[in-house]
Amino acid sequence: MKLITDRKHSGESIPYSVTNVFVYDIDVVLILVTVLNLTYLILNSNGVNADKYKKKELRKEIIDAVIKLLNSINPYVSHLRTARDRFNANPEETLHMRIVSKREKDGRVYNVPTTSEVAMLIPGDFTIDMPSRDIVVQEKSGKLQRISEILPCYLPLQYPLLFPYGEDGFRIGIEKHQTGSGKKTKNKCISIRQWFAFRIHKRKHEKHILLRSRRLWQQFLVDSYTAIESNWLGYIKLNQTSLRAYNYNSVQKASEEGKSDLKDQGLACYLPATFTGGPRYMRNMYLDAMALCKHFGFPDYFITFTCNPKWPELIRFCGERNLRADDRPEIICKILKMKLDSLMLDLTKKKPIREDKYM
Amino acid sequence: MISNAVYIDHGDPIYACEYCGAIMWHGERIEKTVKNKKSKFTSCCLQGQVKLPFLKNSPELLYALPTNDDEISRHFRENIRAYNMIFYFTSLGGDTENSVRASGGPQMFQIHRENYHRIGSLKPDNDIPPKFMQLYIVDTENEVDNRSEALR
Repeated sequence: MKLITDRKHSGESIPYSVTNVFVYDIDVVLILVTVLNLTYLILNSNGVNADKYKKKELRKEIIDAVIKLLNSINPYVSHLRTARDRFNANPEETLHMRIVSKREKDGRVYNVPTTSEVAMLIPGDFTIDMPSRDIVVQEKSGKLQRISEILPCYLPLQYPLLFPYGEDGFRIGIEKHQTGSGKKTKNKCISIRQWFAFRIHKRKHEKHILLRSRRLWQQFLVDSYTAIESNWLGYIKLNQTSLRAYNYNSVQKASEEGKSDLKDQGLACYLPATFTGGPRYMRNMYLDAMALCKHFGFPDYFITFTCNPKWPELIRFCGERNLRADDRPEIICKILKMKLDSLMLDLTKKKPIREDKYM
Repeated sequence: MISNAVYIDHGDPIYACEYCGAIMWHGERIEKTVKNKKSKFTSCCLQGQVKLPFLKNSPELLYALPTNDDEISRHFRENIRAYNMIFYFTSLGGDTENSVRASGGPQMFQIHRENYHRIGSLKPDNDIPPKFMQLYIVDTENEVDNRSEALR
Protein backbone atom coordinates (compact mmCIF):
# COMPACT_ATOMS: atom_id res chain seq x y z
CA MET A 1 0.00 0.00 0.00
CA LYS A 2 1.16 3.47 -0.71
CA LEU A 3 -0.01 6.51 1.12
CA ILE A 4 1.23 10.00 1.32
CA THR A 5 1.29 11.66 4.65
CA ASP A 6 2.43 15.06 5.56
CA ARG A 7 5.49 14.92 7.73
CA LYS A 8 5.69 17.99 9.88
CA HIS A 9 8.85 19.37 11.34
CA SER A 10 7.95 17.86 14.67
CA GLY A 11 8.30 14.41 13.20
CA GLU A 12 4.64 13.54 13.60
CA SER A 13 2.64 12.31 10.64
CA ILE A 14 -0.81 13.57 9.94
CA PRO A 15 -2.85 13.32 6.77
CA TYR A 16 -2.94 16.56 4.96
CA SER A 17 -6.11 17.87 3.48
CA VAL A 18 -5.92 20.85 1.24
CA THR A 19 -9.30 22.30 1.96
CA ASN A 20 -8.91 22.67 5.69
CA VAL A 21 -6.89 25.32 7.35
CA PHE A 22 -5.58 22.97 9.92
CA VAL A 23 -3.01 23.88 12.46
CA TYR A 24 -1.92 21.13 14.70
CA ASP A 25 1.03 21.19 16.98
CA ILE A 26 2.09 17.95 18.52
CA ASP A 27 2.13 19.21 22.06
CA VAL A 28 -0.76 21.57 22.15
CA VAL A 29 -4.25 21.24 20.94
CA LEU A 30 -5.05 24.61 19.60
CA ILE A 31 -7.16 24.70 16.55
CA LEU A 32 -8.42 27.44 14.34
CA VAL A 33 -12.08 27.00 14.77
CA THR A 34 -12.47 27.30 11.04
CA VAL A 35 -11.68 23.65 10.69
CA LEU A 36 -15.05 22.79 12.12
CA ASN A 37 -16.71 24.27 9.08
CA LEU A 38 -16.41 21.25 6.86
CA THR A 39 -16.61 18.53 9.41
CA TYR A 40 -19.63 19.84 11.23
CA LEU A 41 -22.13 20.53 8.54
CA ILE A 42 -23.90 17.41 9.67
CA LEU A 43 -24.47 18.79 13.13
CA ASN A 44 -27.04 21.44 12.46
CA SER A 45 -28.98 20.34 9.46
CA ASN A 46 -32.34 21.22 10.98
CA GLY A 47 -31.96 24.95 10.52
CA VAL A 48 -32.59 26.02 14.10
CA ASN A 49 -29.74 28.45 13.91
CA ALA A 50 -31.46 31.01 11.75
CA ASP A 51 -33.49 32.41 14.63
CA LYS A 52 -30.72 32.09 17.12
CA TYR A 53 -28.46 34.50 15.34
CA LYS A 54 -30.92 37.34 15.40
CA LYS A 55 -29.58 40.12 17.46
CA LYS A 56 -31.14 40.05 20.87
CA GLU A 57 -31.56 42.83 23.30
CA LEU A 58 -29.10 42.62 26.12
CA ARG A 59 -30.69 42.36 29.56
CA LYS A 60 -30.20 45.36 31.75
CA GLU A 61 -30.42 43.36 34.96
CA ILE A 62 -27.45 41.24 33.88
CA ILE A 63 -25.45 44.30 32.87
CA ASP A 64 -26.21 45.94 36.19
CA ALA A 65 -25.18 42.87 38.19
CA VAL A 66 -21.95 42.46 36.25
CA ILE A 67 -21.05 46.14 36.67
CA LYS A 68 -21.48 45.81 40.42
CA LEU A 69 -19.40 42.65 40.48
CA LEU A 70 -16.56 44.12 38.45
CA ASN A 71 -16.60 47.28 40.57
CA SER A 72 -15.91 45.23 43.63
CA ILE A 73 -13.30 42.79 42.37
CA ASN A 74 -11.60 43.94 39.19
CA PRO A 75 -8.40 45.93 39.78
CA TYR A 76 -8.46 47.67 36.40
CA VAL A 77 -12.04 48.79 36.91
CA SER A 78 -11.27 50.21 40.31
CA HIS A 79 -8.51 52.37 38.80
CA LEU A 80 -10.91 53.67 36.16
CA ARG A 81 -13.49 54.44 38.83
CA THR A 82 -10.91 56.38 40.77
CA ALA A 83 -10.08 58.32 37.63
CA ARG A 84 -13.77 59.06 37.17
CA ASP A 85 -14.10 60.36 40.72
CA ARG A 86 -11.10 62.59 40.27
CA PHE A 87 -12.36 63.95 36.97
CA ASN A 88 -15.74 64.63 38.55
CA ALA A 89 -14.23 66.35 41.57
CA ASN A 90 -11.97 68.53 39.53
CA PRO A 91 -12.78 68.73 35.80
CA GLU A 92 -9.66 70.77 35.12
CA GLU A 93 -7.33 68.09 36.35
CA THR A 94 -5.35 66.11 33.82
CA LEU A 95 -4.54 62.50 34.43
CA HIS A 96 -3.02 59.64 32.63
CA MET A 97 -3.06 55.98 33.53
CA ARG A 98 -0.05 53.81 33.37
CA ILE A 99 -0.64 50.06 33.09
CA VAL A 100 2.28 48.40 34.73
CA SER A 101 3.79 45.42 32.98
CA LYS A 102 6.35 44.41 35.55
CA ARG A 103 5.47 41.92 38.26
CA GLU A 104 7.67 41.45 41.27
CA LYS A 105 6.10 38.22 42.45
CA ASP A 106 6.90 34.74 41.21
CA GLY A 107 4.74 33.88 38.19
CA ARG A 108 4.64 30.22 39.21
CA VAL A 109 2.81 31.03 42.42
CA TYR A 110 0.86 34.26 41.98
CA ASN A 111 -1.41 35.27 39.17
CA VAL A 112 -3.99 37.47 40.83
CA PRO A 113 -2.50 40.94 41.02
CA THR A 114 -3.47 43.53 43.58
CA THR A 115 -4.93 46.84 42.57
CA SER A 116 -1.69 48.72 43.11
CA GLU A 117 0.22 46.24 40.98
CA VAL A 118 -1.75 46.53 37.76
CA ALA A 119 -1.81 50.25 37.12
CA MET A 120 -1.33 53.70 38.52
CA LEU A 121 -2.93 57.06 37.94
CA ILE A 122 -0.54 59.90 37.48
CA PRO A 123 -1.55 63.56 37.42
CA GLY A 124 -0.39 65.66 34.52
CA ASP A 125 0.49 64.76 30.97
CA PHE A 126 2.59 61.93 29.78
CA THR A 127 6.31 62.40 30.20
CA ILE A 128 9.01 60.60 28.32
CA ASP A 129 11.15 59.23 31.13
CA MET A 130 9.23 56.06 31.81
CA PRO A 131 10.04 52.41 31.41
CA SER A 132 9.02 51.70 27.86
CA ARG A 133 7.12 48.44 28.36
CA ASP A 134 4.38 50.04 30.41
CA ILE A 135 1.32 51.19 28.58
CA VAL A 136 0.46 54.82 29.02
CA VAL A 137 -3.21 55.59 28.55
CA GLN A 138 -3.63 59.28 27.98
CA GLU A 139 -6.63 61.32 28.87
CA LYS A 140 -7.42 62.19 25.28
CA SER A 141 -5.39 61.08 22.35
CA GLY A 142 -7.81 59.98 19.67
CA LYS A 143 -5.42 57.19 18.88
CA LEU A 144 -5.42 53.53 19.66
CA GLN A 145 -2.28 51.90 20.85
CA ARG A 146 -1.41 48.29 20.59
CA ILE A 147 -0.93 45.98 23.56
CA SER A 148 1.77 43.41 23.11
CA GLU A 149 0.86 39.77 23.69
CA ILE A 150 3.72 39.32 26.14
CA LEU A 151 2.23 41.74 28.67
CA PRO A 152 0.30 40.30 31.62
CA CYS A 153 -2.61 42.68 30.94
CA TYR A 154 -3.17 41.32 27.42
CA LEU A 155 -5.85 38.80 28.39
CA PRO A 156 -7.64 40.42 31.37
CA LEU A 157 -8.22 43.65 29.46
CA GLN A 158 -9.84 41.81 26.58
CA TYR A 159 -11.81 39.24 28.59
CA PRO A 160 -13.12 40.87 31.78
CA LEU A 161 -15.83 38.22 32.04
CA LEU A 162 -13.35 35.36 31.86
CA PHE A 163 -10.78 36.94 34.14
CA PRO A 164 -12.87 39.04 36.51
CA TYR A 165 -10.10 39.32 39.10
CA GLY A 166 -7.74 40.69 36.48
CA GLU A 167 -5.75 37.46 36.51
CA ASP A 168 -2.46 37.86 34.71
CA GLY A 169 -1.91 36.41 31.29
CA PHE A 170 1.37 35.21 29.91
CA ARG A 171 4.43 37.30 30.58
CA ILE A 172 8.10 36.92 29.93
CA GLY A 173 10.21 35.43 32.66
CA ILE A 174 8.02 32.80 34.27
CA GLU A 175 10.59 30.18 35.13
CA LYS A 176 10.29 26.49 34.48
CA HIS A 177 9.84 24.26 37.46
CA GLN A 178 12.77 22.02 38.22
CA THR A 179 11.42 18.49 38.17
CA GLY A 180 14.60 16.93 39.45
CA SER A 181 14.86 14.51 36.57
CA GLY A 182 18.28 15.91 35.85
CA LYS A 183 17.46 16.64 32.25
CA LYS A 184 18.94 19.87 31.04
CA THR A 185 16.38 22.18 29.56
CA LYS A 186 17.28 24.52 26.77
CA ASN A 187 15.14 27.39 27.89
CA LYS A 188 14.95 28.59 31.43
CA CYS A 189 11.55 30.20 31.08
CA ILE A 190 8.30 28.90 29.69
CA SER A 191 7.09 29.98 26.27
CA ILE A 192 3.77 31.56 25.41
CA ARG A 193 2.65 28.33 23.77
CA GLN A 194 3.37 26.34 26.91
CA TRP A 195 1.48 28.90 28.96
CA PHE A 196 -1.66 28.52 26.85
CA ALA A 197 -1.29 24.75 26.69
CA PHE A 198 -1.31 24.66 30.46
CA ARG A 199 -4.28 26.99 30.66
CA ILE A 200 -6.64 25.27 28.26
CA HIS A 201 -6.62 21.98 30.14
CA LYS A 202 -9.42 21.16 32.50
CA ARG A 203 -8.46 20.31 36.04
CA LYS A 204 -10.90 18.71 38.40
CA HIS A 205 -10.76 21.16 41.26
CA GLU A 206 -10.99 24.27 39.13
CA LYS A 207 -14.40 25.83 38.93
CA HIS A 208 -13.88 28.42 36.28
CA ILE A 209 -16.00 30.06 33.63
CA LEU A 210 -13.25 29.85 31.00
CA LEU A 211 -14.02 26.36 29.69
CA ARG A 212 -17.76 26.88 29.96
CA SER A 213 -18.01 30.07 27.99
CA ARG A 214 -18.81 28.51 24.61
CA ARG A 215 -18.64 31.21 21.93
CA LEU A 216 -16.25 33.25 24.01
CA TRP A 217 -14.09 30.17 24.46
CA GLN A 218 -13.86 29.81 20.69
CA GLN A 219 -12.82 33.43 20.45
CA PHE A 220 -10.31 32.90 23.23
CA LEU A 221 -8.74 29.97 21.40
CA VAL A 222 -8.43 31.83 18.13
CA ASP A 223 -7.04 34.80 19.99
CA SER A 224 -4.50 32.65 21.80
CA TYR A 225 -3.38 31.06 18.59
CA THR A 226 -2.81 34.43 16.97
CA ALA A 227 -0.95 35.59 20.07
CA ILE A 228 1.36 32.59 19.84
CA GLU A 229 1.85 33.09 16.14
CA SER A 230 2.63 36.77 16.42
CA ASN A 231 5.11 35.95 19.17
CA TRP A 232 6.73 33.44 16.85
CA LEU A 233 6.79 35.89 13.95
CA GLY A 234 8.31 38.49 16.23
CA TYR A 235 11.10 36.10 17.05
CA ILE A 236 11.74 35.40 13.37
CA LYS A 237 11.82 39.07 12.57
CA LEU A 238 14.30 39.87 15.30
CA ASN A 239 16.52 36.89 14.61
CA GLN A 240 17.03 37.06 10.89
CA THR A 241 20.80 36.79 11.33
CA SER A 242 20.72 33.59 13.32
CA LEU A 243 18.23 32.14 10.85
CA ARG A 244 20.81 32.87 8.16
CA ALA A 245 18.35 34.90 6.19
CA TYR A 246 21.23 36.72 4.52
CA ASN A 247 21.84 33.58 2.50
CA TYR A 248 18.83 34.33 0.44
CA ASN A 249 18.76 38.05 0.66
CA SER A 250 18.01 39.73 -2.60
CA VAL A 251 19.65 42.94 -1.47
CA GLN A 252 22.88 41.08 -0.94
CA LYS A 253 22.67 39.52 -4.36
CA ALA A 254 21.91 42.80 -6.08
CA SER A 255 24.76 44.61 -4.40
CA GLU A 256 27.18 41.87 -5.33
CA GLU A 257 26.08 42.17 -8.91
CA GLY A 258 27.12 45.76 -8.72
CA LYS A 259 23.76 47.46 -9.02
CA SER A 260 23.97 50.96 -7.68
CA ASP A 261 20.25 51.53 -7.26
CA LEU A 262 19.04 49.32 -4.43
CA LYS A 263 15.86 51.15 -3.59
CA ASP A 264 13.61 48.67 -5.41
CA GLN A 265 15.08 45.69 -3.60
CA GLY A 266 13.57 46.55 -0.26
CA LEU A 267 14.20 44.87 3.03
CA ALA A 268 12.40 41.59 3.24
CA CYS A 269 11.75 39.48 6.27
CA TYR A 270 12.19 35.81 5.57
CA LEU A 271 10.06 33.10 7.01
CA PRO A 272 12.10 29.95 7.55
CA ALA A 273 10.83 26.53 6.51
CA THR A 274 9.96 25.73 10.11
CA PHE A 275 7.17 28.31 10.15
CA THR A 276 4.02 26.22 9.76
CA GLY A 277 2.02 27.30 6.74
CA GLY A 278 4.70 29.60 5.38
CA PRO A 279 5.81 29.44 1.74
CA ARG A 280 9.08 27.68 2.49
CA TYR A 281 7.28 25.19 4.71
CA MET A 282 4.78 24.41 1.96
CA ARG A 283 7.56 24.00 -0.54
CA ASN A 284 9.36 21.57 1.73
CA MET A 285 6.22 19.51 2.12
CA TYR A 286 5.66 19.47 -1.60
CA LEU A 287 9.21 18.42 -2.38
CA ASP A 288 9.07 15.67 0.22
CA ALA A 289 5.89 14.30 -1.32
CA MET A 290 7.36 14.41 -4.80
CA ALA A 291 10.52 12.69 -3.63
CA LEU A 292 8.45 9.86 -2.17
CA CYS A 293 6.56 9.48 -5.43
CA LYS A 294 9.76 9.41 -7.41
CA HIS A 295 11.35 6.78 -5.25
CA PHE A 296 8.43 4.43 -4.69
CA GLY A 297 6.05 5.22 -7.50
CA PHE A 298 2.69 6.97 -7.31
CA PRO A 299 0.43 6.46 -4.29
CA ASP A 300 -2.55 4.13 -4.45
CA TYR A 301 -4.43 5.64 -1.54
CA PHE A 302 -4.85 9.21 -0.43
CA ILE A 303 -6.47 9.16 2.97
CA THR A 304 -8.09 12.23 4.49
CA PHE A 305 -9.03 11.83 8.12
CA THR A 306 -11.63 14.22 9.46
CA CYS A 307 -13.50 14.51 12.71
CA ASN A 308 -17.07 13.65 13.41
CA PRO A 309 -19.22 15.41 16.01
CA LYS A 310 -21.13 12.18 16.65
CA TRP A 311 -18.15 10.27 17.96
CA PRO A 312 -19.44 8.51 21.09
CA GLU A 313 -16.55 9.84 23.18
CA LEU A 314 -17.45 13.37 22.21
CA ILE A 315 -21.18 12.89 22.79
CA ARG A 316 -20.55 11.46 26.25
CA PHE A 317 -18.09 14.20 27.16
CA CYS A 318 -20.34 17.05 26.08
CA GLY A 319 -23.52 15.43 27.36
CA GLU A 320 -22.14 15.25 30.89
CA ARG A 321 -21.30 18.92 30.80
CA ASN A 322 -24.41 20.14 29.05
CA LEU A 323 -22.38 21.47 26.13
CA ARG A 324 -22.50 21.07 22.39
CA ALA A 325 -19.61 19.61 20.47
CA ASP A 326 -18.65 22.93 18.94
CA ASP A 327 -18.33 24.54 22.36
CA ARG A 328 -15.11 22.64 22.98
CA PRO A 329 -12.96 22.69 19.83
CA GLU A 330 -9.91 21.62 21.80
CA ILE A 331 -11.59 18.39 22.92
CA ILE A 332 -12.45 17.57 19.31
CA CYS A 333 -8.83 18.10 18.50
CA LYS A 334 -7.67 15.81 21.27
CA ILE A 335 -10.01 13.03 20.19
CA LEU A 336 -9.04 13.47 16.55
CA LYS A 337 -5.41 13.06 17.52
CA MET A 338 -6.13 9.87 19.45
CA LYS A 339 -8.15 8.41 16.59
CA LEU A 340 -5.48 9.37 14.14
CA ASP A 341 -2.79 7.74 16.25
CA SER A 342 -4.73 4.52 16.44
CA LEU A 343 -5.39 4.61 12.69
CA MET A 344 -1.69 5.01 12.02
CA LEU A 345 -0.93 2.26 14.49
CA ASP A 346 -3.35 -0.04 12.69
CA LEU A 347 -1.88 0.75 9.31
CA THR A 348 1.74 0.46 10.30
CA LYS A 349 1.74 -2.33 12.89
CA LYS A 350 -1.18 -4.56 11.97
CA LYS A 351 -0.68 -4.17 8.22
CA PRO A 352 -4.21 -4.72 6.94
CA ILE A 353 -3.02 -4.13 3.38
CA ARG A 354 -0.04 -6.08 2.28
CA GLU A 355 2.97 -4.97 0.33
CA ASP A 356 3.06 -1.48 1.68
CA LYS A 357 6.15 0.28 0.59
CA TYR A 358 5.80 3.60 2.28
CA MET A 359 3.45 5.59 4.33
CA MET B 1 -11.51 -6.74 7.08
CA ILE B 2 -14.27 -4.20 7.18
CA SER B 3 -17.11 -6.64 7.85
CA ASN B 4 -15.87 -7.65 11.30
CA ALA B 5 -14.54 -4.25 12.27
CA VAL B 6 -15.50 -3.01 15.72
CA TYR B 7 -15.57 0.60 16.76
CA ILE B 8 -12.56 1.37 18.90
CA ASP B 9 -13.86 3.44 21.75
CA HIS B 10 -11.29 5.56 23.50
CA GLY B 11 -13.30 5.79 26.69
CA ASP B 12 -13.67 8.79 28.93
CA PRO B 13 -11.06 11.20 30.23
CA ILE B 14 -10.60 9.42 33.54
CA TYR B 15 -6.85 9.81 33.70
CA ALA B 16 -5.11 12.79 35.21
CA CYS B 17 -1.66 14.21 34.75
CA GLU B 18 0.33 13.37 37.86
CA TYR B 19 1.95 16.80 37.93
CA CYS B 20 -0.78 19.30 37.14
CA GLY B 21 -3.97 17.24 37.42
CA ALA B 22 -5.24 17.95 33.92
CA ILE B 23 -7.87 15.43 32.85
CA MET B 24 -6.74 13.24 30.01
CA TRP B 25 -7.78 10.33 27.86
CA HIS B 26 -5.76 7.17 28.05
CA GLY B 27 -4.98 7.51 24.36
CA GLU B 28 -3.15 10.77 24.94
CA ARG B 29 -0.31 9.26 26.92
CA ILE B 30 3.23 9.27 25.64
CA GLU B 31 5.34 6.17 25.09
CA LYS B 32 2.34 4.20 23.93
CA THR B 33 4.29 1.19 22.80
CA VAL B 34 5.67 0.51 26.27
CA LYS B 35 3.26 -1.79 28.05
CA ASN B 36 2.52 -1.82 31.79
CA LYS B 37 3.92 1.59 32.36
CA LYS B 38 2.34 4.38 34.31
CA SER B 39 0.58 6.77 31.93
CA LYS B 40 2.46 9.99 31.39
CA PHE B 41 1.23 13.09 29.64
CA THR B 42 3.15 15.96 28.15
CA SER B 43 0.61 18.10 26.34
CA CYS B 44 -0.47 19.93 29.50
CA CYS B 45 2.66 20.78 31.48
CA LEU B 46 5.68 18.97 29.96
CA GLN B 47 5.74 16.59 32.93
CA GLY B 48 5.81 19.23 35.58
CA GLN B 49 8.12 21.72 33.94
CA VAL B 50 5.38 24.26 33.41
CA LYS B 51 3.99 25.15 36.77
CA LEU B 52 1.45 27.93 36.97
CA PRO B 53 -1.03 28.91 39.64
CA PHE B 54 -4.43 27.35 39.12
CA LEU B 55 -7.27 29.63 38.25
CA LYS B 56 -9.11 31.18 41.12
CA ASN B 57 -12.73 30.08 41.14
CA SER B 58 -14.96 32.44 39.23
CA PRO B 59 -17.39 34.53 41.26
CA GLU B 60 -20.65 32.71 41.89
CA LEU B 61 -22.63 35.01 39.61
CA LEU B 62 -20.33 34.63 36.62
CA TYR B 63 -20.05 30.89 37.00
CA ALA B 64 -23.80 30.43 37.37
CA LEU B 65 -24.77 32.58 34.40
CA PRO B 66 -23.43 30.36 31.60
CA THR B 67 -23.86 27.02 33.35
CA ASN B 68 -27.36 27.07 34.81
CA ASP B 69 -30.28 25.87 32.81
CA ASP B 70 -32.85 28.62 33.18
CA GLU B 71 -34.00 31.20 30.69
CA ILE B 72 -31.58 33.96 31.72
CA SER B 73 -28.63 31.61 31.54
CA ARG B 74 -29.62 30.48 28.07
CA HIS B 75 -29.89 34.07 26.96
CA PHE B 76 -26.55 34.90 28.52
CA ARG B 77 -24.60 32.08 26.98
CA GLU B 78 -26.02 32.66 23.54
CA ASN B 79 -24.89 36.26 23.75
CA ILE B 80 -21.77 35.80 25.82
CA ARG B 81 -19.51 37.44 23.26
CA ALA B 82 -21.76 40.48 23.20
CA TYR B 83 -21.67 40.69 26.97
CA ASN B 84 -17.92 40.45 26.99
CA MET B 85 -17.81 43.09 24.29
CA ILE B 86 -19.62 45.70 26.33
CA PHE B 87 -17.26 45.26 29.26
CA TYR B 88 -13.86 44.92 27.70
CA PHE B 89 -11.16 47.58 27.79
CA THR B 90 -9.37 46.87 24.55
CA SER B 91 -10.67 46.20 21.07
CA LEU B 92 -9.91 43.20 18.92
CA GLY B 93 -7.87 44.14 15.86
CA GLY B 94 -8.65 41.42 13.32
CA ASP B 95 -11.75 41.45 11.11
CA THR B 96 -14.38 39.12 12.48
CA GLU B 97 -15.96 37.13 9.72
CA ASN B 98 -19.73 37.20 10.09
CA SER B 99 -20.78 35.36 6.96
CA VAL B 100 -19.88 32.01 8.48
CA ARG B 101 -22.50 32.55 11.15
CA ALA B 102 -25.31 33.46 8.82
CA SER B 103 -24.83 30.39 6.68
CA GLY B 104 -25.89 28.03 9.44
CA GLY B 105 -23.85 25.05 10.48
CA PRO B 106 -21.79 24.79 13.62
CA GLN B 107 -20.91 27.83 15.60
CA MET B 108 -17.46 29.06 14.92
CA PHE B 109 -15.31 32.08 15.17
CA GLN B 110 -13.15 33.23 12.33
CA ILE B 111 -10.97 36.27 11.96
CA HIS B 112 -8.89 37.71 9.17
CA ARG B 113 -5.80 39.84 8.98
CA GLU B 114 -3.36 40.42 11.75
CA ASN B 115 -4.88 40.23 15.18
CA TYR B 116 -4.03 42.58 18.00
CA HIS B 117 -5.56 44.24 21.03
CA ARG B 118 -5.69 48.01 21.14
CA ILE B 119 -6.44 50.43 23.90
CA GLY B 120 -7.70 53.99 23.54
CA SER B 121 -7.70 56.95 25.87
CA LEU B 122 -9.42 57.66 29.18
CA LYS B 123 -11.90 60.13 27.74
CA PRO B 124 -13.54 60.20 24.31
CA ASP B 125 -12.74 62.97 21.89
CA ASN B 126 -15.29 65.71 21.49
CA ASP B 127 -18.71 64.63 20.20
CA ILE B 128 -17.79 60.97 19.98
CA PRO B 129 -19.78 58.65 22.24
CA PRO B 130 -17.69 56.81 24.83
CA LYS B 131 -16.42 53.36 23.94
CA PHE B 132 -14.71 50.46 25.67
CA MET B 133 -13.04 51.55 28.86
CA GLN B 134 -14.30 55.11 28.52
CA LEU B 135 -17.67 53.72 29.59
CA TYR B 136 -16.17 53.18 33.03
CA ILE B 137 -15.42 56.90 33.33
CA VAL B 138 -17.84 59.01 31.35
CA ASP B 139 -21.52 59.45 32.22
CA THR B 140 -21.67 56.63 34.72
CA GLU B 141 -25.09 57.66 36.03
CA ASN B 142 -26.55 56.07 32.90
CA GLU B 143 -23.96 53.36 32.65
CA VAL B 144 -26.37 50.47 32.20
CA ASP B 145 -28.14 52.20 29.33
CA ASN B 146 -24.90 53.31 27.74
CA ARG B 147 -23.57 49.81 27.79
CA SER B 148 -26.65 48.20 26.35
CA GLU B 149 -26.52 50.81 23.55
CA ALA B 150 -22.82 50.37 22.98
CA LEU B 151 -23.17 47.62 20.43
CA ARG B 152 -25.51 49.37 18.05
